[in-house]
Amino acid sequence: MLIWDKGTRIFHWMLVLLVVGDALTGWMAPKWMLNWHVAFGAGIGMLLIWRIVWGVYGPGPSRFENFIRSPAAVLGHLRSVASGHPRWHAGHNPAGGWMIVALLITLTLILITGLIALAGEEKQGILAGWISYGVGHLCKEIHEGLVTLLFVLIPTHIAGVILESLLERENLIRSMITGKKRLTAIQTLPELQQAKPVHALIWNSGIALLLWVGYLGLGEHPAPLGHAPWSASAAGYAKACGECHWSFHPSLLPESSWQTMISTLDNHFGENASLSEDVRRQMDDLLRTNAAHAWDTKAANQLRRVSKEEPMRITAAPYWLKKHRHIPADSYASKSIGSKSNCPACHQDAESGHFTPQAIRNPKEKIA
Amino acid sequence: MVGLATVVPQHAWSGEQASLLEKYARQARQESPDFTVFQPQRGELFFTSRHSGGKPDTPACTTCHGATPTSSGMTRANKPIEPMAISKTPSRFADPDKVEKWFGRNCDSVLGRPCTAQEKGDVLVYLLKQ
Repeated sequence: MLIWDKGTRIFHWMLVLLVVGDALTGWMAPKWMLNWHVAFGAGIGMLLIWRIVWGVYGPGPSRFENFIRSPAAVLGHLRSVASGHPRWHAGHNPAGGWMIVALLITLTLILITGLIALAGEEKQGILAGWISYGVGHLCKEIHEGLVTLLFVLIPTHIAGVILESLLERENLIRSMITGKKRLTAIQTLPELQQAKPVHALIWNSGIALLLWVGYLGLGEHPAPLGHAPWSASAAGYAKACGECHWSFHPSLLPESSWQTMISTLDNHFGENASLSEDVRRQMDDLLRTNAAHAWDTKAANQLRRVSKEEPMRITAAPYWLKKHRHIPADSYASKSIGSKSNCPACHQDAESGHFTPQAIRNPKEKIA
Repeated sequence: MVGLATVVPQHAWSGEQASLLEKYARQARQESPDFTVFQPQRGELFFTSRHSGGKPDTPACTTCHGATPTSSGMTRANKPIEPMAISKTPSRFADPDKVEKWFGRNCDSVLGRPCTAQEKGDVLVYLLKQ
Protein backbone atom coordinates (compact mmCIF):
# COMPACT_ATOMS: atom_id res chain seq x y z
CA MET A 1 0.00 0.00 0.00
CA LEU A 2 1.07 3.59 -0.55
CA ILE A 3 2.90 4.86 2.52
CA TRP A 4 5.20 7.63 1.27
CA ASP A 5 3.46 10.44 -0.59
CA LYS A 6 5.13 12.00 -3.60
CA GLY A 7 6.12 15.12 -1.72
CA THR A 8 7.99 13.18 0.94
CA ARG A 9 9.71 11.03 -1.67
CA ILE A 10 10.78 13.93 -3.84
CA PHE A 11 11.94 15.75 -0.74
CA HIS A 12 14.06 12.78 0.36
CA TRP A 13 15.91 12.27 -2.89
CA MET A 14 16.41 15.96 -3.63
CA LEU A 15 17.90 16.25 -0.17
CA VAL A 16 20.30 13.43 -0.99
CA LEU A 17 21.38 15.19 -4.19
CA LEU A 18 21.85 18.56 -2.56
CA VAL A 19 23.72 17.14 0.43
CA VAL A 20 26.10 15.33 -1.94
CA GLY A 21 26.51 18.57 -3.89
CA ASP A 22 27.26 20.48 -0.72
CA ALA A 23 29.71 17.84 0.46
CA LEU A 24 31.61 17.94 -2.82
CA THR A 25 31.67 21.73 -3.08
CA GLY A 26 32.53 22.03 0.58
CA TRP A 27 35.53 19.73 0.54
CA MET A 28 36.82 18.91 -2.87
CA ALA A 29 35.82 21.57 -5.35
CA PRO A 30 38.09 24.60 -5.92
CA LYS A 31 37.43 27.46 -3.52
CA TRP A 32 36.02 29.71 -6.19
CA MET A 33 33.01 27.42 -6.47
CA LEU A 34 31.76 28.68 -3.13
CA ASN A 35 28.64 30.09 -4.80
CA TRP A 36 27.53 26.55 -5.65
CA HIS A 37 28.05 25.47 -2.08
CA VAL A 38 25.88 28.34 -0.86
CA ALA A 39 23.25 27.69 -3.55
CA PHE A 40 22.94 24.00 -2.64
CA GLY A 41 22.69 25.06 1.00
CA ALA A 42 19.88 27.45 0.15
CA GLY A 43 18.11 24.59 -1.63
CA ILE A 44 18.48 22.40 1.44
CA GLY A 45 17.05 25.23 3.53
CA MET A 46 13.95 25.38 1.39
CA LEU A 47 13.54 21.60 1.54
CA LEU A 48 13.87 21.63 5.33
CA ILE A 49 11.20 24.27 5.72
CA TRP A 50 8.89 22.29 3.48
CA ARG A 51 9.51 19.04 5.36
CA ILE A 52 8.95 20.55 8.78
CA VAL A 53 5.61 22.03 7.70
CA TRP A 54 4.74 18.70 6.05
CA GLY A 55 5.64 16.94 9.27
CA VAL A 56 2.68 18.74 10.81
CA TYR A 57 0.21 18.83 7.91
CA GLY A 58 1.28 15.96 5.68
CA PRO A 59 -0.38 12.55 5.41
CA GLY A 60 -0.10 10.21 8.41
CA PRO A 61 3.17 8.38 7.76
CA SER A 62 4.98 11.67 7.16
CA ARG A 63 3.77 13.35 10.35
CA PHE A 64 6.22 13.80 13.20
CA GLU A 65 3.60 12.81 15.74
CA ASN A 66 3.46 9.33 14.23
CA PHE A 67 7.14 8.43 14.15
CA ILE A 68 8.77 10.41 16.97
CA ARG A 69 8.43 8.07 19.90
CA SER A 70 9.66 7.86 23.49
CA PRO A 71 13.14 6.52 24.37
CA ALA A 72 11.46 3.39 25.70
CA ALA A 73 9.82 2.78 22.33
CA VAL A 74 13.14 3.28 20.56
CA LEU A 75 14.89 0.85 22.89
CA GLY A 76 12.06 -1.61 22.46
CA HIS A 77 12.42 -1.46 18.72
CA LEU A 78 16.18 -1.86 18.84
CA ARG A 79 15.76 -4.92 21.06
CA SER A 80 13.34 -6.40 18.57
CA VAL A 81 15.86 -5.79 15.79
CA ALA A 82 18.61 -7.42 17.84
CA SER A 83 16.44 -10.49 18.25
CA GLY A 84 16.19 -10.78 14.46
CA HIS A 85 12.44 -10.10 14.43
CA PRO A 86 11.89 -6.38 14.21
CA ARG A 87 8.49 -5.00 15.02
CA TRP A 88 6.78 -3.87 11.82
CA HIS A 89 5.79 -0.24 11.33
CA ALA A 90 3.92 1.11 8.34
CA GLY A 91 5.95 4.31 8.33
CA HIS A 92 9.25 5.06 10.06
CA ASN A 93 10.10 2.86 13.03
CA PRO A 94 11.01 4.68 16.28
CA ALA A 95 14.76 4.43 15.75
CA GLY A 96 14.41 5.68 12.19
CA GLY A 97 12.20 8.45 13.54
CA TRP A 98 14.91 9.68 15.86
CA MET A 99 17.46 9.44 13.07
CA ILE A 100 15.25 11.70 10.97
CA VAL A 101 15.02 14.21 13.79
CA ALA A 102 18.79 14.06 14.25
CA LEU A 103 19.35 14.60 10.54
CA LEU A 104 16.90 17.48 10.30
CA ILE A 105 18.33 19.25 13.34
CA THR A 106 21.91 18.69 12.23
CA LEU A 107 21.20 19.95 8.73
CA THR A 108 19.42 23.02 10.10
CA LEU A 109 22.32 23.85 12.38
CA ILE A 110 24.79 23.30 9.55
CA LEU A 111 22.82 25.76 7.47
CA ILE A 112 22.62 28.41 10.16
CA THR A 113 26.30 28.18 11.08
CA GLY A 114 27.15 28.21 7.39
CA LEU A 115 25.24 31.42 6.81
CA ILE A 116 26.90 33.06 9.81
CA ALA A 117 30.34 31.82 8.74
CA LEU A 118 29.78 33.15 5.23
CA ALA A 119 28.95 36.55 6.66
CA GLY A 120 31.70 36.72 9.27
CA GLU A 121 34.55 35.15 7.33
CA GLU A 122 33.88 36.07 3.72
CA LYS A 123 31.68 39.12 4.27
CA GLN A 124 29.17 37.66 1.84
CA GLY A 125 25.56 36.59 1.93
CA ILE A 126 22.54 38.09 3.55
CA LEU A 127 24.18 38.64 6.95
CA ALA A 128 27.35 40.30 5.59
CA GLY A 129 28.30 43.30 7.69
CA TRP A 130 26.25 42.12 10.64
CA ILE A 131 28.58 39.36 11.82
CA SER A 132 32.13 39.90 13.07
CA TYR A 133 35.03 37.84 11.75
CA GLY A 134 35.50 36.27 15.18
CA VAL A 135 31.93 35.02 15.36
CA GLY A 136 32.03 33.88 11.74
CA HIS A 137 35.25 31.99 12.30
CA LEU A 138 33.82 30.20 15.32
CA CYS A 139 30.70 29.26 13.37
CA LYS A 140 32.86 27.91 10.58
CA GLU A 141 34.53 25.53 13.02
CA ILE A 142 31.14 24.48 14.40
CA HIS A 143 29.87 24.07 10.84
CA GLU A 144 32.73 21.71 10.04
CA GLY A 145 32.21 19.78 13.27
CA LEU A 146 28.53 19.34 12.53
CA VAL A 147 29.37 18.13 9.02
CA THR A 148 31.59 15.47 10.59
CA LEU A 149 28.61 14.46 12.72
CA LEU A 150 26.46 14.33 9.59
CA PHE A 151 29.01 12.04 7.98
CA VAL A 152 28.48 9.69 10.91
CA LEU A 153 24.69 9.96 10.87
CA ILE A 154 24.27 9.32 7.16
CA PRO A 155 26.12 5.98 7.01
CA THR A 156 24.31 4.97 10.20
CA HIS A 157 21.02 5.86 8.57
CA ILE A 158 21.89 3.87 5.44
CA ALA A 159 23.07 0.93 7.52
CA GLY A 160 19.86 1.03 9.53
CA VAL A 161 17.73 1.07 6.38
CA ILE A 162 19.64 -1.85 4.89
CA LEU A 163 19.49 -3.85 8.13
CA GLU A 164 15.79 -3.25 8.54
CA SER A 165 15.24 -4.13 4.86
CA LEU A 166 17.02 -7.44 5.31
CA LEU A 167 15.19 -8.35 8.49
CA GLU A 168 11.75 -7.33 7.24
CA ARG A 169 12.41 -8.75 3.80
CA GLU A 170 11.26 -5.50 2.25
CA ASN A 171 13.35 -3.22 0.06
CA LEU A 172 12.92 0.00 2.03
CA ILE A 173 15.00 1.99 -0.43
CA ARG A 174 12.63 1.01 -3.21
CA SER A 175 9.75 1.96 -0.92
CA MET A 176 11.13 5.47 -0.68
CA ILE A 177 11.08 5.61 -4.50
CA THR A 178 7.73 3.96 -5.25
CA GLY A 179 6.11 4.91 -1.94
CA LYS A 180 4.75 1.37 -1.50
CA LYS A 181 5.23 -1.13 1.30
CA ARG A 182 3.81 -4.61 1.77
CA LEU A 183 0.97 -4.67 4.21
CA THR A 184 2.17 -7.04 6.91
CA ALA A 185 0.27 -6.34 10.08
CA ILE A 186 -3.04 -4.59 9.86
CA GLN A 187 -3.18 -3.70 13.53
CA THR A 188 -0.24 -1.32 13.45
CA LEU A 189 -1.75 1.14 11.00
CA PRO A 190 -2.65 4.17 13.08
CA GLU A 191 -0.94 6.62 10.79
CA LEU A 192 -3.71 7.24 8.36
CA GLN A 193 -4.45 10.93 8.86
CA GLN A 194 -5.20 12.75 5.64
CA ALA A 195 -2.82 15.38 4.35
CA LYS A 196 -3.87 19.01 4.71
CA PRO A 197 -2.12 20.55 1.72
CA VAL A 198 -3.86 23.91 2.03
CA HIS A 199 -2.66 24.30 5.60
CA ALA A 200 0.81 23.36 4.47
CA LEU A 201 0.67 25.86 1.63
CA ILE A 202 -0.44 28.66 3.96
CA TRP A 203 2.36 27.91 6.40
CA ASN A 204 4.98 27.66 3.67
CA SER A 205 3.81 30.90 2.13
CA GLY A 206 3.79 32.60 5.51
CA ILE A 207 7.33 31.49 6.27
CA ALA A 208 8.49 32.51 2.82
CA LEU A 209 6.91 35.93 3.30
CA LEU A 210 8.55 36.33 6.69
CA LEU A 211 11.94 35.44 5.25
CA TRP A 212 11.44 37.87 2.39
CA VAL A 213 10.52 40.68 4.77
CA GLY A 214 13.51 39.84 6.91
CA TYR A 215 15.77 39.87 3.88
CA LEU A 216 14.46 43.27 2.81
CA GLY A 217 14.69 44.56 6.35
CA LEU A 218 18.32 43.57 6.72
CA GLY A 219 19.15 45.30 3.49
CA GLU A 220 22.69 45.56 2.24
CA HIS A 221 25.02 46.60 5.02
CA PRO A 222 26.77 49.88 4.12
CA ALA A 223 30.14 48.59 5.28
CA PRO A 224 30.21 44.81 4.79
CA LEU A 225 34.00 44.72 5.16
CA GLY A 226 33.81 46.52 8.49
CA HIS A 227 35.10 49.71 6.87
CA ALA A 228 33.90 52.29 4.35
CA PRO A 229 34.70 51.36 0.73
CA TRP A 230 38.31 52.09 -0.17
CA SER A 231 39.61 53.93 -3.22
CA ALA A 232 43.36 54.08 -3.67
CA SER A 233 43.14 56.90 -6.20
CA ALA A 234 40.70 59.01 -4.19
CA ALA A 235 43.05 58.81 -1.22
CA GLY A 236 46.07 59.99 -3.27
CA TYR A 237 47.56 56.63 -2.45
CA ALA A 238 47.66 55.35 -6.02
CA LYS A 239 49.70 58.34 -7.17
CA ALA A 240 52.13 58.35 -4.25
CA CYS A 241 52.58 54.60 -3.80
CA GLY A 242 50.88 52.77 -6.67
CA GLU A 243 53.02 53.55 -9.71
CA CYS A 244 55.67 50.84 -9.31
CA HIS A 245 53.46 48.15 -7.82
CA TRP A 246 49.78 47.66 -7.21
CA SER A 247 48.31 49.83 -4.47
CA PHE A 248 48.67 47.35 -1.66
CA HIS A 249 45.49 47.44 0.36
CA PRO A 250 46.14 49.08 3.76
CA SER A 251 44.34 46.28 5.59
CA LEU A 252 47.10 43.84 4.65
CA LEU A 253 49.58 45.11 7.25
CA PRO A 254 49.26 46.26 10.87
CA GLU A 255 49.86 49.87 11.80
CA SER A 256 53.36 49.20 13.17
CA SER A 257 54.52 47.75 9.83
CA TRP A 258 53.16 50.70 7.86
CA GLN A 259 54.82 53.10 10.26
CA THR A 260 58.22 51.47 9.85
CA MET A 261 57.82 51.33 6.08
CA ILE A 262 56.83 54.97 5.60
CA SER A 263 59.72 56.15 7.76
CA THR A 264 62.30 54.12 5.80
CA LEU A 265 61.28 54.83 2.20
CA ASP A 266 64.87 55.52 1.16
CA ASN A 267 65.39 51.78 1.49
CA HIS A 268 62.05 50.40 0.42
CA PHE A 269 62.70 46.72 -0.30
CA GLY A 270 65.99 47.74 -1.93
CA GLU A 271 64.65 50.78 -3.76
CA ASN A 272 64.78 54.47 -2.99
CA ALA A 273 61.11 55.35 -2.87
CA SER A 274 61.44 58.64 -1.01
CA LEU A 275 58.54 61.06 -1.10
CA SER A 276 58.33 64.78 -0.40
CA GLU A 277 57.81 65.37 3.30
CA ASP A 278 54.20 66.53 3.08
CA VAL A 279 53.18 63.60 0.87
CA ARG A 280 55.09 61.24 3.13
CA ARG A 281 53.29 62.53 6.20
CA GLN A 282 49.98 62.27 4.35
CA MET A 283 50.62 58.63 3.43
CA ASP A 284 51.83 57.86 6.94
CA ASP A 285 48.58 59.16 8.38
CA LEU A 286 46.45 57.43 5.72
CA LEU A 287 48.02 54.00 6.06
CA ARG A 288 48.21 53.97 9.84
CA THR A 289 44.57 55.02 10.17
CA ASN A 290 43.37 52.41 7.68
CA ALA A 291 45.67 49.57 8.71
CA ALA A 292 44.60 45.99 9.46
CA HIS A 293 43.00 46.87 12.78
CA ALA A 294 40.48 49.09 10.99
CA TRP A 295 39.02 46.29 8.85
CA ASP A 296 37.12 43.11 9.73
CA THR A 297 37.89 40.97 6.69
CA LYS A 298 39.55 37.58 7.02
CA ALA A 299 42.74 38.94 5.46
CA ALA A 300 42.85 41.92 7.81
CA ASN A 301 42.22 39.83 10.90
CA GLN A 302 44.79 37.20 10.02
CA LEU A 303 47.52 39.44 8.60
CA ARG A 304 47.70 41.49 11.80
CA ARG A 305 50.26 38.84 12.74
CA VAL A 306 53.43 39.57 10.83
CA SER A 307 56.70 37.73 10.31
CA LYS A 308 59.19 38.46 13.09
CA GLU A 309 62.13 38.66 10.70
CA GLU A 310 60.36 40.66 7.97
CA PRO A 311 57.47 42.55 9.53
CA MET A 312 56.90 44.68 6.44
CA ARG A 313 56.69 41.80 3.99
CA ILE A 314 53.11 40.61 3.51
CA THR A 315 54.25 37.46 1.72
CA ALA A 316 56.34 36.46 4.75
CA ALA A 317 53.42 36.63 7.18
CA PRO A 318 52.48 33.24 8.71
CA TYR A 319 48.93 33.39 7.35
CA TRP A 320 50.09 34.24 3.83
CA LEU A 321 52.52 31.33 3.88
CA LYS A 322 49.81 28.99 5.11
CA LYS A 323 47.25 29.98 2.49
CA HIS A 324 49.71 29.76 -0.41
CA ARG A 325 51.60 26.69 0.75
CA HIS A 326 50.27 24.43 -2.03
CA ILE A 327 51.31 26.77 -4.83
CA PRO A 328 54.67 25.80 -6.36
CA ALA A 329 57.20 28.53 -5.70
CA ASP A 330 58.29 28.77 -9.33
CA SER A 331 54.78 29.46 -10.61
CA TYR A 332 55.08 33.06 -9.39
CA ALA A 333 57.82 33.67 -11.93
CA SER A 334 55.45 33.07 -14.85
CA LYS A 335 54.98 36.00 -17.18
CA SER A 336 51.40 36.69 -16.21
CA ILE A 337 52.13 36.76 -12.47
CA GLY A 338 55.71 37.91 -12.08
CA SER A 339 56.15 37.71 -8.32
CA LYS A 340 54.44 36.73 -5.08
CA SER A 341 53.70 40.38 -4.33
CA ASN A 342 51.51 40.73 -7.41
CA CYS A 343 48.28 39.84 -5.62
CA PRO A 344 45.88 41.13 -8.34
CA ALA A 345 47.35 38.62 -10.83
CA CYS A 346 45.28 35.89 -9.17
CA HIS A 347 43.03 37.76 -6.73
CA GLN A 348 40.80 39.76 -9.01
CA ASP A 349 39.30 41.70 -6.09
CA ALA A 350 42.62 42.56 -4.40
CA GLU A 351 42.18 46.32 -4.89
CA SER A 352 39.10 46.30 -2.67
CA GLY A 353 40.77 44.28 0.05
CA HIS A 354 37.94 41.74 0.02
CA PHE A 355 39.88 38.68 -1.26
CA THR A 356 36.89 36.41 -1.78
CA PRO A 357 37.42 32.78 -2.83
CA GLN A 358 35.26 33.27 -5.91
CA ALA A 359 37.55 36.01 -7.23
CA ILE A 360 40.60 33.75 -7.36
CA ARG A 361 41.63 32.89 -10.89
CA ASN A 362 45.04 31.29 -11.28
CA PRO A 363 46.22 32.53 -14.66
CA LYS A 364 47.45 29.82 -16.96
CA GLU A 365 51.20 29.60 -16.91
CA LYS A 366 52.73 31.18 -19.96
CA ILE A 367 56.24 30.33 -20.93
CA ALA A 368 58.13 33.61 -20.42
CA MET B 1 64.95 84.33 -21.71
CA VAL B 2 66.18 82.71 -24.87
CA GLY B 3 63.45 81.72 -27.29
CA LEU B 4 62.71 78.03 -27.13
CA ALA B 5 63.10 77.70 -30.89
CA THR B 6 66.82 78.09 -30.41
CA VAL B 7 67.16 75.25 -27.90
CA VAL B 8 64.68 72.71 -29.29
CA PRO B 9 63.65 71.65 -32.77
CA GLN B 10 60.33 73.02 -33.92
CA HIS B 11 57.47 71.00 -32.45
CA ALA B 12 54.07 71.57 -30.88
CA TRP B 13 53.95 71.15 -27.14
CA SER B 14 51.78 72.21 -24.21
CA GLY B 15 52.49 75.00 -21.77
CA GLU B 16 53.73 72.70 -19.02
CA GLN B 17 56.01 70.81 -21.38
CA ALA B 18 57.41 74.08 -22.70
CA SER B 19 58.20 75.46 -19.24
CA LEU B 20 59.80 72.14 -18.29
CA LEU B 21 62.09 72.30 -21.31
CA GLU B 22 62.90 75.93 -20.56
CA LYS B 23 63.87 74.96 -17.04
CA TYR B 24 66.14 72.19 -18.25
CA ALA B 25 67.65 74.50 -20.87
CA ARG B 26 68.52 77.01 -18.14
CA GLN B 27 70.08 74.29 -15.99
CA ALA B 28 71.95 72.79 -18.95
CA ARG B 29 73.51 76.17 -19.71
CA GLN B 30 74.61 76.49 -16.10
CA GLU B 31 76.09 72.98 -16.10
CA SER B 32 77.96 73.45 -19.33
CA PRO B 33 78.50 76.78 -21.15
CA ASP B 34 78.94 74.89 -24.48
CA PHE B 35 75.31 73.73 -24.36
CA THR B 36 73.34 74.89 -27.37
CA VAL B 37 70.44 72.66 -28.28
CA PHE B 38 68.54 69.60 -27.08
CA GLN B 39 68.85 66.86 -29.67
CA PRO B 40 66.23 64.13 -30.07
CA GLN B 41 68.79 61.78 -31.70
CA ARG B 42 71.03 62.11 -28.64
CA GLY B 43 67.95 61.49 -26.51
CA GLU B 44 67.08 58.34 -28.43
CA LEU B 45 70.61 57.02 -28.05
CA PHE B 46 70.54 57.77 -24.33
CA PHE B 47 67.13 56.15 -23.87
CA THR B 48 67.94 52.92 -25.68
CA SER B 49 71.59 52.35 -24.69
CA ARG B 50 72.78 50.06 -21.99
CA HIS B 51 74.41 52.05 -19.22
CA SER B 52 76.82 50.86 -16.57
CA GLY B 53 76.94 52.20 -13.05
CA GLY B 54 73.33 51.54 -12.17
CA LYS B 55 71.57 48.46 -10.84
CA PRO B 56 72.36 45.27 -12.76
CA ASP B 57 68.72 44.47 -13.46
CA THR B 58 68.02 47.89 -15.01
CA PRO B 59 70.83 48.62 -17.48
CA ALA B 60 68.64 50.71 -19.82
CA CYS B 61 65.50 52.85 -19.78
CA THR B 62 63.98 50.39 -22.21
CA THR B 63 64.37 47.57 -19.66
CA CYS B 64 61.17 48.75 -17.97
CA HIS B 65 59.65 51.13 -20.53
CA GLY B 66 59.68 48.71 -23.44
CA ALA B 67 61.71 48.59 -26.63
CA THR B 68 60.03 51.62 -28.24
CA PRO B 69 58.30 54.67 -26.73
CA THR B 70 54.98 53.52 -28.20
CA SER B 71 55.11 50.15 -26.46
CA SER B 72 53.87 49.74 -22.91
CA GLY B 73 56.31 48.58 -20.30
CA MET B 74 56.35 46.78 -16.97
CA THR B 75 57.88 47.74 -13.64
CA ARG B 76 59.97 45.19 -11.83
CA ALA B 77 57.01 44.77 -9.47
CA ASN B 78 54.87 43.73 -12.48
CA LYS B 79 52.82 46.91 -12.74
CA PRO B 80 52.15 47.93 -16.37
CA ILE B 81 53.66 51.24 -17.53
CA GLU B 82 51.74 53.19 -20.14
CA PRO B 83 53.73 54.12 -23.26
CA MET B 84 56.01 57.17 -22.95
CA ALA B 85 54.89 58.49 -26.36
CA ILE B 86 52.37 61.34 -26.09
CA SER B 87 50.71 59.94 -29.18
CA LYS B 88 49.66 56.98 -27.00
CA THR B 89 49.56 58.64 -23.57
CA PRO B 90 48.60 62.31 -24.00
CA SER B 91 49.12 63.12 -20.33
CA ARG B 92 52.86 62.42 -20.48
CA PHE B 93 55.15 65.18 -19.15
CA ALA B 94 52.22 67.39 -18.17
CA ASP B 95 53.09 67.14 -14.47
CA PRO B 96 56.58 68.55 -13.82
CA ASP B 97 56.70 67.09 -10.29
CA LYS B 98 56.04 63.64 -11.67
CA VAL B 99 58.72 64.06 -14.35
CA GLU B 100 61.27 65.14 -11.78
CA LYS B 101 60.30 62.34 -9.38
CA TRP B 102 60.84 59.67 -12.00
CA PHE B 103 64.02 61.15 -13.46
CA GLY B 104 65.31 61.17 -9.90
CA ARG B 105 64.51 57.52 -9.22
CA ASN B 106 65.17 56.04 -12.64
CA CYS B 107 68.48 57.78 -13.36
CA ASP B 108 69.66 56.43 -10.03
CA SER B 109 68.56 52.91 -11.01
CA VAL B 110 69.88 52.93 -14.58
CA LEU B 111 72.97 55.14 -14.34
CA GLY B 112 73.75 55.15 -10.63
CA ARG B 113 73.84 58.95 -10.72
CA PRO B 114 71.46 61.90 -11.35
CA CYS B 115 70.89 62.74 -15.02
CA THR B 116 72.28 66.05 -16.24
CA ALA B 117 69.80 68.67 -17.40
CA GLN B 118 71.04 68.16 -20.96
CA GLU B 119 70.35 64.45 -20.78
CA LYS B 120 66.87 65.12 -19.41
CA GLY B 121 66.12 67.66 -22.13
CA ASP B 122 67.44 65.38 -24.88
CA VAL B 123 65.25 62.51 -23.68
CA LEU B 124 62.23 64.79 -23.40
CA VAL B 125 62.49 66.18 -26.92
CA TYR B 126 62.98 62.65 -28.24
CA LEU B 127 59.91 61.34 -26.44
CA LEU B 128 57.81 64.42 -27.21
CA LYS B 129 58.22 63.68 -30.91
CA GLN B 130 56.79 60.14 -30.54
